[in-house]
Amino acid sequence: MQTIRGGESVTTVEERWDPGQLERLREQYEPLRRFAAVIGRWDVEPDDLVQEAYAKVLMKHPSEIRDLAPYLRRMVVNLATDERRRVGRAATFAPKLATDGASVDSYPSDLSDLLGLPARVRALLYMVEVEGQQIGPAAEAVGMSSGNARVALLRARRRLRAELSEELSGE
Amino acid sequence: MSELRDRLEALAARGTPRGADDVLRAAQRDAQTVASDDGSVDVDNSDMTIIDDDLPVVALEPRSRKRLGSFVASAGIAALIGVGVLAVSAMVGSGGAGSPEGAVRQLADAVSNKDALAAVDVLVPSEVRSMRETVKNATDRAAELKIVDEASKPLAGVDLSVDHLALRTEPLADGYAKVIITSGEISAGTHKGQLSALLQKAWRNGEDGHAQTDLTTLAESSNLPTFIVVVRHGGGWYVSPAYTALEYIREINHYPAADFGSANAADLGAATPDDAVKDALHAWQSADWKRFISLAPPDELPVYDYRAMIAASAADSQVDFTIDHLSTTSIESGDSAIVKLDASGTTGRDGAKWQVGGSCASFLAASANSDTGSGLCLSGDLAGTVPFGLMMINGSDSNSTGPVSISVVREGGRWFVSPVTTVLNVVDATIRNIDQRSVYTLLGLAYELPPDGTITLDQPFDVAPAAAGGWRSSRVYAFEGQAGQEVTGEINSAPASGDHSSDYSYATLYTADGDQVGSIDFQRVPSQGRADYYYASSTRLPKTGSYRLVFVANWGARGESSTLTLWDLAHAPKSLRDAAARNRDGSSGSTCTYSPGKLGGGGIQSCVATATPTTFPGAVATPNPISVPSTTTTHSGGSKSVTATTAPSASTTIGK
Repeated sequence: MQTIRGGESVTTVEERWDPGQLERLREQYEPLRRFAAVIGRWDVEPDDLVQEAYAKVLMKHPSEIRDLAPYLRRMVVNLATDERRRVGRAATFAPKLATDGASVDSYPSDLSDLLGLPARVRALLYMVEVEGQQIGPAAEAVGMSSGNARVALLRARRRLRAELSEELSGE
Repeated sequence: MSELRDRLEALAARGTPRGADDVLRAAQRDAQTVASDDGSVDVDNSDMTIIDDDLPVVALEPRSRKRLGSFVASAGIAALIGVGVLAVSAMVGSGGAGSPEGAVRQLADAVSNKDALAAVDVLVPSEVRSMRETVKNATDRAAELKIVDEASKPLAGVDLSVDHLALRTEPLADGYAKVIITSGEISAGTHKGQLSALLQKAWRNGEDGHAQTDLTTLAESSNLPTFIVVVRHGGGWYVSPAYTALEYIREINHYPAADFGSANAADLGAATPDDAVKDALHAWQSADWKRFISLAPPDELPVYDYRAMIAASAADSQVDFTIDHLSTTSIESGDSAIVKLDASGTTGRDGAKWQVGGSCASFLAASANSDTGSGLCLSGDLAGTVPFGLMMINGSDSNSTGPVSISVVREGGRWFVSPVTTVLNVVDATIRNIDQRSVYTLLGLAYELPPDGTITLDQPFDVAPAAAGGWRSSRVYAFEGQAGQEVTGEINSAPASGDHSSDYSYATLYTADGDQVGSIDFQRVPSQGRADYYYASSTRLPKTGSYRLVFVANWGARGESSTLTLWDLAHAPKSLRDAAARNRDGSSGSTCTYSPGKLGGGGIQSCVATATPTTFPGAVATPNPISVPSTTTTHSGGSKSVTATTAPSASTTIGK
């Protein structure tokens, strides 16, 4: 037994989450890992984001979570955003470290155009283009208004098209 | 060349999967460990608020943000109360009072007076400077635009009263006192019938209302009483919004006490108007807060008295921008001056540009095509910044380009940057720029504006830019439609020069009676050679009759006329129909498969939508719910097909 903030008693993870509920979490793994791979930094393992999202969810009681799949996605969006911010702060305070080669992004050149997009726009593209989601729910999942999401998608597609056209002409 | 979806698939497949069991087991251990570390578990849902890139929500590492966060929060409370003081003061009609409590009682006694012009007289004169003139300009303009019926009664339709007021005074220093409200209520009522006809129309679904608040509890959440700081000025006592706000910030955060009246203007400020502005910008950039606050006029913004608090609160703050260019010119007039500022630089790690002066239209066009973010630009009279860009709709470029004017004042022979006068000048410029189109747009009544033209479905129409270099926003067009027609939009003209990213418009569709029907996206089709690279929404017209198409504030291309078409979807080009079908509302929950294609692909190959039961709050099950039978509908268009399937158990029940 542990103590929750405010003195209310709570149970262990296993007592809060029965096997059936854990199975629901397990079922989310594959789509969530793919989503995390798209929105996360290149040097962050998607499984690490999923694990962290799972851990945060497991600290709650299942009854507090109305809709597990979007809840987990939002968690991953926030974790990925915060990770980027943390790395950004570190680079700001110690810019020389970035040239040491200890933490330099390296990824296939054919993904550089995608990875150059804002993470949330990348996730939008993935949900709309690959998962076939409507813009409204996809926008909600990444915390954007539908209008902004539409314009962001439009701009992203144009930018990608221009970059891919350049690649093509260079081939 | 890889296509977009291939690349997204490749990205989604990256990494080294450990498998669901391993990840879940590790997460269970993490959850147990975190919970055990401090014996507590955070069970709120705050980490589920989707965050912007500027605000932290989920912590991956321990960190302390409490100081800055509480400072900002307390500043918000202080600002709220400060605005409240200003708002209440706006009803007051007299000068200074004979005692500290007398100054506050004047506020309460004058609430029902509602004389906005006399209002400012109860505030410390040096803090409000030219506010009286601004209030007069605002009320006069409101009457001209029919927002209020009479300039002398700007608050007609609103009743305010303060009752059962009891006060207690605590001296802070010689000439400074804190008046604490120990009892009292403020009540407010609205009477729709007394509002102007225009506001009644905008508020057509609103009802008369009444609310009452215990004045003693306004700062209850911070465990503070409600108080107002008053200062003695020229033998009379005046309410000080600035000291009130600063004192709240200090008390909420337990910062060191203020050194009241300690500022000696002769030892502060700068030698010239230009130096005051330049020094302020450089002090800000270098986080030299001591120098920064020394450039605020002591009589107007008494931050120098609170320098210990500001030093404590700003101790760990970070400023991250460069000044690559800075130039000023100034015009002096007695003890005041206007400094014209041109400056630019970069912000943050990403190197996004900022600019003061010049042309923001050019800046935004350049930013839209850069990889460093949209940046920040201020130019001209800043009328476009208040409120929230609305006035950019019709502000002419002659006002929205060029250096920014900063007001500077002389006290004790030294020059100080005057935030109040600077802001009031912006407000004055904004008031000058407000016109009928702006007001109707702001109130959601743009459909009532005289149409800029009448259009015919399926026929291109030209949209002239508003004013000199304005936007498509708030242009209004009338057209006739038939019940059941589905309409969508297209941009036909060439992209605005140098600004491809803003090549998009968004319009709201109303009936002529003002009922909102839907919205329409306008984009180029095909887009630079690709037919499938755009978003297209469509709206079904509910009845036969006259409609209004209102272009709303968005990324409308500016500065050039453009040609658009509002299509009856049945007659639209196939690429547009396909896009509209793909993005049509109401297919939430569907899953689609895609045909192969380049970058954006060949569009939808097939979509399957499965209905799930929907329960409406408050609905009661009826003995005979309406059930949707299992159906499968296939719609084919060319090589595309859409299949909708409802589950046998799906039903929607609505009862009373």
